[in-house]
Amino acid sequence: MQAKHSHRLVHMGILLTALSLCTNATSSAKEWTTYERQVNLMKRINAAQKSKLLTVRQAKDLRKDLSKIAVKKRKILSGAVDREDGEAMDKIEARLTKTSHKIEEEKEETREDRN
Amino acid sequence: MKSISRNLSILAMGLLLSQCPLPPDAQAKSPSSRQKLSMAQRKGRANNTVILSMPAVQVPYRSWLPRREKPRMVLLCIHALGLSSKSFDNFGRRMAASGIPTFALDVRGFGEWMKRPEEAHMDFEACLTDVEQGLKNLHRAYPGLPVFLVGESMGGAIAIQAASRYPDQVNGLLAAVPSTTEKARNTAKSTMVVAYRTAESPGEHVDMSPVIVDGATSDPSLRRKIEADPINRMELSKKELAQFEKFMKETHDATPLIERAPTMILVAYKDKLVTPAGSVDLFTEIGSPQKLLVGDGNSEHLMLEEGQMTSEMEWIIKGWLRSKASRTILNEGAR
Repeated sequence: MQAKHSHRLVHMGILLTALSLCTNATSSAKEWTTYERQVNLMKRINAAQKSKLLTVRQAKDLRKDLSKIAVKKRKILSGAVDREDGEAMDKIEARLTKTSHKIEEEKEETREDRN
Repeated sequence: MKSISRNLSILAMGLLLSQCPLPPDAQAKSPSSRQKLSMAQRKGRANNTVILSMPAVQVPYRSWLPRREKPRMVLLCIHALGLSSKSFDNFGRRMAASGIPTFALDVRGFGEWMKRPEEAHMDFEACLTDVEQGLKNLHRAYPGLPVFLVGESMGGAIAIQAASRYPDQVNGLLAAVPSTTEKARNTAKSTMVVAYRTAESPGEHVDMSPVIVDGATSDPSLRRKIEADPINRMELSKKELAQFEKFMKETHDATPLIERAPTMILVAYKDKLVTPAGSVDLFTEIGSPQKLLVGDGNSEHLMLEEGQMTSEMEWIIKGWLRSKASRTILNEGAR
């Protein structure tokens, strides 16, 4: 009887641990800060340039886009932009998404040109 | 003075991601490099093997390593136009004497690269890849320790651009006189960049020593020393000088992307080569709130290289490095 009870406890423990890990994984996937997104985009540009899916010129232009976004973000965070914080930061996120799509589009164009 | 390890010949800094074949000339030199590495290992630098273990391309570099002290940070230095990693000899010795392992690489087209005809031209994109791989290798060789980039003049601009491209590899940045241009006026203020316009063809070589050497220092003995050293390269093609000018201007696009790395910018107020205003502009544009601008009223263009670091500047730099390194280690521990 006692053994059965302890087995149940062990199973419950495993289940709770698994649930906790899943919750953590889901929440960490959602919690990308703007800075983390910027770093990730920079890494993607660097990798695509190395694998020659982006030309030096294209990579420089994309980095310049990121630079402009960083300047805008800095203005927002310093209070220099006269907008509601949330709305202004949403626009920053949207510009990052646009840059992300641009990276993929330009990589795809290079792949198509190769084929 | 602590023991110092100097690598006077080409050593292999592994570049995993590069496609370039190993130059025969560099291969011939690798046994002596290995001998020097063994000496460094005997002095307690077993991790050095990591730096040299993946040679896809051999990047010339020098290192100055402390003998006994347990390091708390690592420096990777990038030299100014026309000079080589050798110009950091005095700086490297002084940092190693304080327990800071210091590495310096040759920028493509300069230093030991000149001995490989196919690689003897300036190439900033390849240099940035060299810096990235150097950073990765140093993180592997010194796990858990912050790696700071140090650069002077053109090297400062390279360090800034590397810090913006590889933010997760650069834990701190020290750039001395990193600009030749003022963004506000969008004009090249340096006499250096004007010189190439007088050349008639892109392939034509311009002797830059009257500009670089005379502008860098008013000390006649130092001028003679820089000019006489065969590892320095003062003749540049018009194409290379145009590339240089473009690269220096592009540094203004990189500065806003440095949002986290602690950054120190040094400016020299007796600089005859470039005005301090360009470097002050770069400082203003840097996104990181942890930034510090230090102006030296007595320094000429070279503030770190060729033995030009004053004892006051050494004190300031070491204090700043220690403070930022311990903070970086603490932050890493808290994650």
